[in-house]
Parts: sequence; structure tokens; C-alpha cells
Amino acid sequence: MKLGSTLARRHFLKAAGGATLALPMLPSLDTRAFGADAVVGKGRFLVTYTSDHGGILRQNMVPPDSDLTDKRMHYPGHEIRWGKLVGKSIDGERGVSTVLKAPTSVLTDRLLSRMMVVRGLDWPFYAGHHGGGHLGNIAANAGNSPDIMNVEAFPTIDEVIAWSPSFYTASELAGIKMRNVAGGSGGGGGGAVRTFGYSNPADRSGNIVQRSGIKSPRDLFDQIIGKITPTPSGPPPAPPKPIVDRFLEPYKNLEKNPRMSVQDKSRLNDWMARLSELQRRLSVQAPTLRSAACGSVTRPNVDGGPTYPDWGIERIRPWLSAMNDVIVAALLCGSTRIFTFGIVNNMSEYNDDWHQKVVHAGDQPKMLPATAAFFRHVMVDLATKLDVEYAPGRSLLDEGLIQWSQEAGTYTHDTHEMTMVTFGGAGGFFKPGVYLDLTNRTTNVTGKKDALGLPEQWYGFLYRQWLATVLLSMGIPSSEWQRGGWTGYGLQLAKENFAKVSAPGIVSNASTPLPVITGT
Amino acid sequence: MRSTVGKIVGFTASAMLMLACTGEVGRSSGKGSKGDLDLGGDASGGRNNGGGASGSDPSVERKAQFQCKSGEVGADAPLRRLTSTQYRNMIRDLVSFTAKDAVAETLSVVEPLLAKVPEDDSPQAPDASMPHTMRRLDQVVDDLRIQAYYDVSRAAGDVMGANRTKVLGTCASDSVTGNDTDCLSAFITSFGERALRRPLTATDRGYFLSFSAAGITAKSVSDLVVAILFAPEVASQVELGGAAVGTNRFTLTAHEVASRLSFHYLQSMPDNELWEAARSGKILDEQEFRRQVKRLAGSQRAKATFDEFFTDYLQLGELRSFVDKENDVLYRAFASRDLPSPNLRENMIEEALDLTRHHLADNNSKFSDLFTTERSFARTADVAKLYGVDIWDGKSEPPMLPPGHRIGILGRAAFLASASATTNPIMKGVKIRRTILCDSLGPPPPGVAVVPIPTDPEKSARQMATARTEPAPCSVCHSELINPLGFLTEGFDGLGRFRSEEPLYSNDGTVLRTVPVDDRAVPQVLFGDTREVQGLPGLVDAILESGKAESCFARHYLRFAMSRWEDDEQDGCLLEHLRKVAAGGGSMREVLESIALDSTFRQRIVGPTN
Repeated sequence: MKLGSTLARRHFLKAAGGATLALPMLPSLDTRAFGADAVVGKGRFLVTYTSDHGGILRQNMVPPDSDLTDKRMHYPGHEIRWGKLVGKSIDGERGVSTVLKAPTSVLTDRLLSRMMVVRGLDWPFYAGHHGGGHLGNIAANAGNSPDIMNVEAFPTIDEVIAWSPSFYTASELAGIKMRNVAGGSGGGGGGAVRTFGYSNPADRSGNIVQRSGIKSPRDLFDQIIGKITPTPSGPPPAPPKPIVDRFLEPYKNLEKNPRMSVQDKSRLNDWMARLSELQRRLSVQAPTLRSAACGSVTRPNVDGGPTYPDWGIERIRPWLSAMNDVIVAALLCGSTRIFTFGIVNNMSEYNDDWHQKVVHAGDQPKMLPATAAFFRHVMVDLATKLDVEYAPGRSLLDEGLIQWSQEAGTYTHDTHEMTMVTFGGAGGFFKPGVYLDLTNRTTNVTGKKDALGLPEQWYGFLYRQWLATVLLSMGIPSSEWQRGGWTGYGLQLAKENFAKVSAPGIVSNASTPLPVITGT
Repeated sequence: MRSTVGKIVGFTASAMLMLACTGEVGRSSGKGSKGDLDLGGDASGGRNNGGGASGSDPSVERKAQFQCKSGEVGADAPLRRLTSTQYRNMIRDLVSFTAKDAVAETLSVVEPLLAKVPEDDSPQAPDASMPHTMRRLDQVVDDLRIQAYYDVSRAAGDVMGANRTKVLGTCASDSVTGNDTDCLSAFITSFGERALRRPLTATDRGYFLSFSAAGITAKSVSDLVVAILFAPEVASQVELGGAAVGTNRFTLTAHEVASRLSFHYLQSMPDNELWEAARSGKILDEQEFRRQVKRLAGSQRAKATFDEFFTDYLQLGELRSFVDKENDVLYRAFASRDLPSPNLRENMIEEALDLTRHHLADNNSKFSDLFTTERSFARTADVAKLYGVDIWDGKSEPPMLPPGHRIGILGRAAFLASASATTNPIMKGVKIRRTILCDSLGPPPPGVAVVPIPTDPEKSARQMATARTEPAPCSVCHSELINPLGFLTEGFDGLGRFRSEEPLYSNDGTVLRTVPVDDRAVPQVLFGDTREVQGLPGLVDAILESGKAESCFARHYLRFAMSRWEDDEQDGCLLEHLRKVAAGGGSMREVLESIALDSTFRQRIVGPTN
């Protein structure tokens, strides 16, 4: 398949719905840019979008059981089921469920073959609201649950990946302006940030702190791509001479002062580690020196971003679309390979107390269109923009993973039976095009029906196994993130009747890739 | 450097703040709150000293008084970082002080970069059931922030380097090279001392001069400016102290005292008068120190400081937006002639802040007056109309409110409005319990909040709240500690208008029926106090009688002033001092001055040095 026309017209313009969306690159994108040494050939990438609440009933969230054409007894007493993702006509569009749908021309068989729906992931305790559980730090929660008050904090997986020597090689780091992008909508300057890391990530020491975030697509573009310089002829110039180390002397002098407490020094060390990272970033070459494709990206027009509780598809969609454009641009320019965005604004026209009156009232008629809009205008939009072939049969989308996690599963506040929706294959690690149901249907494991009159729920696999799977998919060996006796990634806690009813192997194998979707 | 593997680190960064029972869960404004809390005495900024309540405990009452154990003082925040506001103000002041004829050019380049400094975000409390409110507690230093500091420093350096003659004087560009060192030394002394906020050492001077070893060029001056602005003392409050006064405790030097005072009250580096008092050492004189405290607390700049404090203390930023409400048929029917203007939210917040400003400016105004004032501070027509009063001109005596209903800060629209056609008594109750009384509300029992209960248009807001929370596990907290506080404010609707009746609307805006407002309840401001009161005045009486508002205020103010969480044990003396001043009938200004006047304000208390 020839790239030029395919890339520029079929995919990008289609992604914009044929409208005048600001695109990250021009139609004249150079086919030669996608050679072996360009763009994502450098490695896999990860994009995570997180949204609040969840609470979409399973019949609306995932494909019907009839799509689960295969099954096996994965562990004694725990049958898993799966099937190919099959597009159906839903409300005049094409999709696999009430909320996972898009215009027929957009959600094609090709895109469906690069999509995964994984149902049945559990944090096996009560969590309530949390911002950190999406990516592995459920200690960052709203204090709704005695189960997870003051529990151990973890760096989120995007931080683990970003600082892993297995992800960015030393040579690639010479071109990485920002190891991982953290941003989102709502709140303060940086939006709802879901990224947490060590205060000294280089040493993996210090406290677990929340990263500052970037809300503005334009700011993000400026920070990670910046000015695009013409591709020079001849060998690339030497990188700028490091300069930050010239400013370190006062820090070193201060560190020696006997009045500095242990805590002062530790904090100063964190600070100095950031200076070291700054020095690295300041040494990064202009992007076009490494990728001709990058020369065609354009700075987005969208500045700022929605503030909570801004609402409405048309308020939020242009911002998200621009953010997706910057993601594509950054990948083309090789400026970073990890992105995490927390989205707290709802894509609904409902202009009242969404939190209390809609989600907490379980108002599915209002929640479904908003959730479907998120899938369409965030996930499908980005997947389509990345579904650009750089070699026969291989698209940018195949090289990475886009994942969408919701805060809760079938019922808001409840982190059982959660669903993960993804696009991409992470460089062949995943075998997408599948709906995988990990729930164990033999037991009403949460017992919610008796206690609260809710429909039954079933335990599946641990959410922390999903996180481990993503880490592995990005090439991060378990030796880098697994601690003695632990399995999976994140809080090693199970409450309720999980231990009693879960199959042998659920816990012990949580550090291994999830079955089926990884071809195992 | 020590690893945190296996270490428990409490932290919450959720966009949500909630306390819940069935279907009624609160959420903050969606901001990505951030924190850096340490349950084990680590060093990255925050501290877990949330008052002794365990998050897994049920609701815990914070007492109205503190125990002062002689000699105990809470440790200061390690290497306290300036807030983003403080940093921006300081850079502007430094440029204005230093760049001389290049001030405008420098600021025009630097200002856009100052806007890129990440905003501070209030971290979650160590006890997650407490609200996170104070942005000054944000002590995170990450790559974005460091990048922003560097960009600001480099931009300022480049402009000042290019304009070195304007900045350093003609000695920077004359043909004489023999005066270069003197030229630079003079600049280093004036700029460096103000930036580092202390006298320079010989080591400092040698280091700074090294950037211009090859002469005075645009590049060398630029690097020199960066070297100064990028020093650790600039963006953080480094206090190495003077004489030791005990184990791990020492007095602050004159310059350190001046900096503490200045960053607390002015949110910037010391002004000229304070700087001179530091240079001369006069600031260490008790009388001069007190004079400076009064001067700074009463300064124009301090108004913005106290605005920030009251905004965070009262969580005014949590007020929802009223944008586009005219498109909502139900809301339109509810609002009727008071359909919100685009600026209503900001006008409501401004009115609440004007209340605090007015009482700060009035030397006869006491802390309790914040809760009891019967005047309106509405300077915009929309808020004044909601209150049924004339617009205040901001100068004369504020107009009296209609008698008998709306009083004090809890009666402000910014505190009462829901931006909805209905009120939310549960969340109002939570806010009063946690923000005004500082009580800790335990988390809801697991699972209870997943049960959706649809809104019933035939029920009043009070009836709905009761229906949602009367099942057994919920009612434990809600029926006694949460809902009643909110019910007592039900005399005001979702726009903060007084009402004696509550119209119940269908979705198309039709009034289904009207029910009388029931605003009688047993607030249990003090746990176990079963006295029933009525309305907001009754609630305010109960709060002031309890003394808990003053002690809660003391907590908030300590957090704000010291950029750390309080420790009831270690900080008992300071908290009790603050509480007593607030409760003792002194003016509001005196209350806000009181923390600086405590002797510990001029001391540095650190953890182990080995």
C-alpha cells in the first residue's frame, strides 16, 4: 500500500469527519519519512485516556454474550470466554455495544481488527472515587473507602515505563523532549493528572508525588516539539553543550551545610535530579533532524482546555481532537512515546450536577450518549489518526497501545468487573480484534445481590494483571517493577470474598500477560 | 538518598473529594489535587500531621481547644518551595528592582513564561476524610516546574544581557576593561543579595563572577542572571538560621525572618523597607518586628494574600459555574427573573471575599463577625438582586440585609448556591462539618454508594436527602452529623435566595407543588448536643457557642502560613495561641497577625541532621 495518499487523505481527513479540523500534518507528508529509522520504528508507544465514574451497565458497555464464541477453562473453576469483535448496526452507526460505536465510515473492519475490549478486571476491594487506580496508584483516592485509606502508593505505570532503561535507550533519549506527557481536562492548570511518580524518579526514591500536567494542546506542542527547523543537509550538528551543570554549585554547597536536615537534603537531592533531567532535555536536538515527517506537523490552534465542570460535546471535542493531533505529531517527531490524560468533563449536553444527579442516580439514558461520545471523539478519533501505514500492512497504530480506562466498573464507585477498551497492538505484543470476557460466571462473587439488591457481579482477573501486561507490552521486564512476593502491578490487596472464591492462579499469575489477547 | 520501597506513603490526587452514603457523593471541582504526603517523616514536602484522626476511623470530632505542652513545636516543612504565586511575584519584583531601564522589556518577555509555571494544587490531607483546601501545601517539584524556572531565568537573562548597559550601567559597554570586575561585582551584590535574600559570601561572589571571566558580554551577563535566578535559595525558602535554641531548633537570621514575613504577607521577597530592616538587623528587635508585621499585614499586597487564604479556607473555588443555564428549561423556570449572568459565579465569590476584606479593614471587627454580619457586600446587580438589597459602592457602610435570615459568611450565595434548581443539603452539611468545624467524617461503608436512587420530583431537597441516606449504614453519619447542618441552610435556594417555600418542578419547568421549607434540625455541632435549632441564625449560634470555628480556623491558618499540615501534639501551643486570639475578641487583622507574633515564627525547627 502506498503511503502518501493513504496517510494524508484516507485516514487523516476521515478522522476529521471531512471537516476543517486542524491537522497535525499536511497532506504533502513525505512517504520517505516512514523508513525504518523514522518515527515509531524507534519503539512502542502508550497512550492512556482515563474517564471518571464508569457505571455503564454491562449490557451497554460490552458486546453481547453471543459474541463470545470461544471459551476455555483457564484455571480450575474459572472459565474465560472470547470472540472476534464484530461490528453491528447500532442506532444508525456501527459498533460492538451501545457505547462502543461510531459512524459506519469510521469504525471500519480494519479499525475493529485493531481494537480490544477486555471485561472483568478487578481491584478486589471497595475503592469509591479514585484518580490513581487507572494506572496503578490506587492510594490516590478520595478517601471514600476504609479499605484503601493510607495504603502504599506506587508510581503509575507510565512513570515506570518513562524512566525504565528498557524503554528509552540512551541514544533515543537524545531526542526525547519529555519522557511522558501528563495532562487532562478540568481543575487547575494541568487538569486532572493521573500520573504519579517518585519525587526522584531517576533514583526511584523519595515520595510518590503527583506530576504537574499540561492542559493546553498548544503548550504541549511547544514543550515537546517546539520550533520545527528545516532538515539540514549533511551530518546533524552536535547537540547543544550541556549548561545546567554550571548552575549546580550552589546546590552542592547547600547540601554540605550542617544545618540541612536529612529531610532538607533528600528534598534537595530530588531537586538536583530534576536539574539533571532538565539538562538532558535542553540537549535534545530539534525534531526534524531525526524525522522528515516531523517537518510537516503544525502547531495546534487550540490553547487552554476545559475546566470542570464544563460539559458538552462541542465544548470538549475540539480540545480532545487537538490533543490527539499533538499525540500524533509527537510520535511522528519522535519527541515522546508515552501520554496520559485524565478527562473529568462529561461529553453530554446535560447542564446540571452530573456527578450527583446523573451518575449517582444511575441515569443510564444520560450516561450512555456521553460515554459513546467519549469513545467516538477520543478513542476512535485517535485510533483513526494513528492508523497510518508506514509499511505494507503495518500502521502506526500497530506499534503502540491506546487504552481507555474508566474509574469504576458496572456500577460507579465499584472497581469490580471493570472494562478496558484499547486500540493497537503494541508492536505485535497484543493480538487485537478481540472481545475478552474474564469474568467467572460460576459464582456471584461479590454477593452484591443479597446485600444491596444489585444484579450479580462476577470476579474476573486482577486489574493489576492488566497493568503488568501493559508494562510487559512496552518491553519493561518484571524484574524492574516486581517486588518480592508480589504479583501484578500495584496494591497487593484483596478484600471481600475474593480469596475465598477466586481460582488458584489468579493471584499467582498476575505478573504474566493476560491470556488470549496476547496469544497465550 | 533513601529508597521508599515498602514505605507507606499516603496520598490522594483524585479529582474527587467525597463523602458518601447512598448515591450522594461529593466531588471537588475536578482539579487534579496533588500531594506529597508522608506518613513516615520523609522529606519531599508534605507531612502527615492531620490531627490524629485515622482515616479508617469513623467520624472524629475535633475539639474546640488544643493542648499546649510546653516546649513542643511542629517541625517546619523541609526546604519549603515558594508557591507559584510567590515565585511569580518575586521574579517580577526582582526584575523591577534590577533591570532598571530594561524593566519593561524584560517583563514583556518573562511574563508569558511566568504563566507557564504550574499552578499549585491543594493536596489531599493525610487523613483523606478531611478536605484538601490549601494550595500553599503543594510542595511538589517536578520536571515541568523546573523547566519553567529555567525558562524564566534564561529569558530574563537573555533580555538583561542584551540590555546590559541599561542594567549594569555604562561600565558594561565602555571600552575600559579594567572596571569590569567592579561593574559586575556591584551588580552581583545588588541583584544577588535581593534574589538570594541574604548577604553573599565570598564563595557566592567567586561563583557568580566566574560566569563573566571573559568579560562583560550579552552571553556572560545572561548566564550570570541565570546562575543567580536558578540558585536553590531563589525558588525555595532556605533557612539555615542563627543561634541554636535547642535540639534541632534555631533562631532565624534577620534576613530569614524578613523573608518569612514577606513571603507570608506579601507573597514575594522583602520590600525595600523590610530589606533595610533585615540588613541593619533591626528586624530582630521586638518592637520593630511587631511594627513590620502590622505594616505588612495591612499593606495593599496582603489583601491578595488574604484573598487566597479565605478562598482556600472557605473552598470558594468549589462553587459551580452558571454558564449556559438559560438553555435549561427547568433552570429557567427556577431562576425566573434571576437567570444567571455569565459572571454570576465570580460575582458571588467576590462578594464573599468582600465580606472578609471589609472585616479585615475594620479594626473593630472580630473573627465572630465573619459569621454574624447582617450586611450585604454585593457590588454587582446580580448578587444584590438575589439578596434583595441595593448595590454596595464598596466605600460607604454596606447595606443591611433583610432581617432575620441571611447572616455571615455561611449566608453568602457563594457558600449556598448549587448552580442547580435544587439545593444539595448533604454536600452543604459535609462542607460545614469539615471546613468550618474541621471534624473528620469517616468514609461510607463499602459498597453503599453504588446504589442509584433516582431523583423524585415530588420530594423536597430535604426529603430526597433523607430518603437517600436513611438506610441503616448511611444514617449513622448522615442523620446526625451531616444532613442536619445542610437542612439548617435550606432557607436558601440553589441561587442562594432566601425562601420559606420550596417549589417542586417537573423536568419541563412546571411547578408540581410547593412545600414549606423545614429548616429546623439538631446540628450536633458538638457531638452529642441534642438541642434543636432553626435556620442559619440558629446554626451560626451553635457554631459560635461551640468554639469550634475558632479552633478550625487556627488549623487552616497554620497550614496556610507554614505550608504544612498541623500536628495536634507538636503544634498544640501554636494552635491554641491562634485559637485564643480568634476567640478573644481581637480584630480580624490581629488574628491574621498573630501567627507571626508567636515566637516560633522566628525559629526554624528541623528534623534530624544526620
